[in-house]
Amino acid sequence: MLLTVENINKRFYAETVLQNVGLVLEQHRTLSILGKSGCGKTTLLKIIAGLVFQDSGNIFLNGININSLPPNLRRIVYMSQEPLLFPHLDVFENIAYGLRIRKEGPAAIETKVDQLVGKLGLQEHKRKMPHQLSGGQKQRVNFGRSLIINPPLLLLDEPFSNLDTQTRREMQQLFKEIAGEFKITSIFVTHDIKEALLMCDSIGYMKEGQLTIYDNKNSFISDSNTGVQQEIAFWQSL
Amino acid sequence: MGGLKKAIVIIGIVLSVFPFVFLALLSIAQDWRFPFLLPSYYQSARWAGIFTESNDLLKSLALSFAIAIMVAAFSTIAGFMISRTISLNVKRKLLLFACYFPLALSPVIYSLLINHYFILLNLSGTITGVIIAQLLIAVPFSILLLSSFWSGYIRSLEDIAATLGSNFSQSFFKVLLPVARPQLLVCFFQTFLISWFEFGLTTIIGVGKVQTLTLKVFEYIGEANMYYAALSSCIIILPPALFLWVNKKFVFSNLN
Repeated sequence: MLLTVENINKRFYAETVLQNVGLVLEQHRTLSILGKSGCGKTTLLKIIAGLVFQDSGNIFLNGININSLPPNLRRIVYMSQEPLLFPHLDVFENIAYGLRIRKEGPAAIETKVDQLVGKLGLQEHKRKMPHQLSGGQKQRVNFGRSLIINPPLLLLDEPFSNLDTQTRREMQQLFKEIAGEFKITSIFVTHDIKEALLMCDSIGYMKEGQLTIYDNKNSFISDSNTGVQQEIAFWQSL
Repeated sequence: MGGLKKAIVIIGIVLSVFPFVFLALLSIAQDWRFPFLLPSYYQSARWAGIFTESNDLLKSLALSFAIAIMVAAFSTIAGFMISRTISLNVKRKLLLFACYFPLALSPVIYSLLINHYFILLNLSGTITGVIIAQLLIAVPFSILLLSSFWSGYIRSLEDIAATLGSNFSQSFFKVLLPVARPQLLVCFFQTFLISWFEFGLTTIIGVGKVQTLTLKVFEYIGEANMYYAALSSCIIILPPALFLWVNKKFVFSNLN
């Protein structure tokens, strides 16, 4: 098992944000977590990334407890809703960032970045600054910046929620292709039912800080809490 | 409407430029009395005299410049670091509020309050004392100016950099400093000006021994020596004007 999360609890002052959250994730698989805004999805991802500390519970990566490991040593990349590219670096340097801080040689950086830029369809934009890019292009760069360091686990926090429908569909397709090609292990958090189903190998639903992981997609669909039944009923009523 | 707009612009330009032209004229005037619109005679000896050994205007210029550069550099760096620490503190509003106190007091009153401690520490009448006294105003100013930089967006950038593998110093030097560059330059320039034109603290803490250029101007005014006051005022304007031009030409233009 690549990732094991056991009984994570987190409170912010009087508010309970996560309650006995647990999950397991196998290598090269994507777990989608569906949930409404404020249900604790982002906090869970930030705890796994080491950006927020849990009050109790354990996180194991490849069987090693990483509770006390700072985020820079976990190698778990967190991708937020906004692409958040470094505004002072162009596309090439944004993607190369992780390699530069690992002090890789210039030739190796050039080769790796160029390959990834090609795969992400960003050749024409290589020397553009972030403010010159569209939302979809920024998210592609964000993917590139995350993938280039070959992280064992990628945490995606509603990465496509700010994109228009067409771009969102393209990005979902791109992610599926990349996830297969790079053998990515990831947790994909979203509040969109279709996206959750489309992106996942396994699926969970989070409500008021409690996470339910389903055995398969059918059990997720048949659970009345997830909202899938209401969605189906809506489309059938048209 | 177009004519009125043009007239307002011209009046604005004249009002902005007039004090500088007036000072320049006064500094080279030999004899300028009412009701004459312009000086009767002009002379360059006063300007040439700056470079003579007996004239200490150049020394004051160098001293002012050295003090202002040190105050600006230290307060910008300290302000950046302290404002970051404050932004992460749960009592940040209270701490930021406290930063207003040194700025709310008149510099003269403030220096009278702290002067006793400077005497005890043998800092009174020294350049170090004047620098420390000016920092007591410049650092809170920097903290207040740079506190707006530490937004949720910057915190998120730091988080992203950390998950990509950056330790604190890598995030600081490769992300935070470059992103903060425009704000840091503004802060450096502003604190330079605070120090450059500072009078109250420098007078009381420096007890007349630390003769900055601003003190020289007031000295000449006190002596009713308007021509030398104008000359030193011209000199006092030059470094900030040069600084502003360099900033505009070479620094801020590269940020766009």
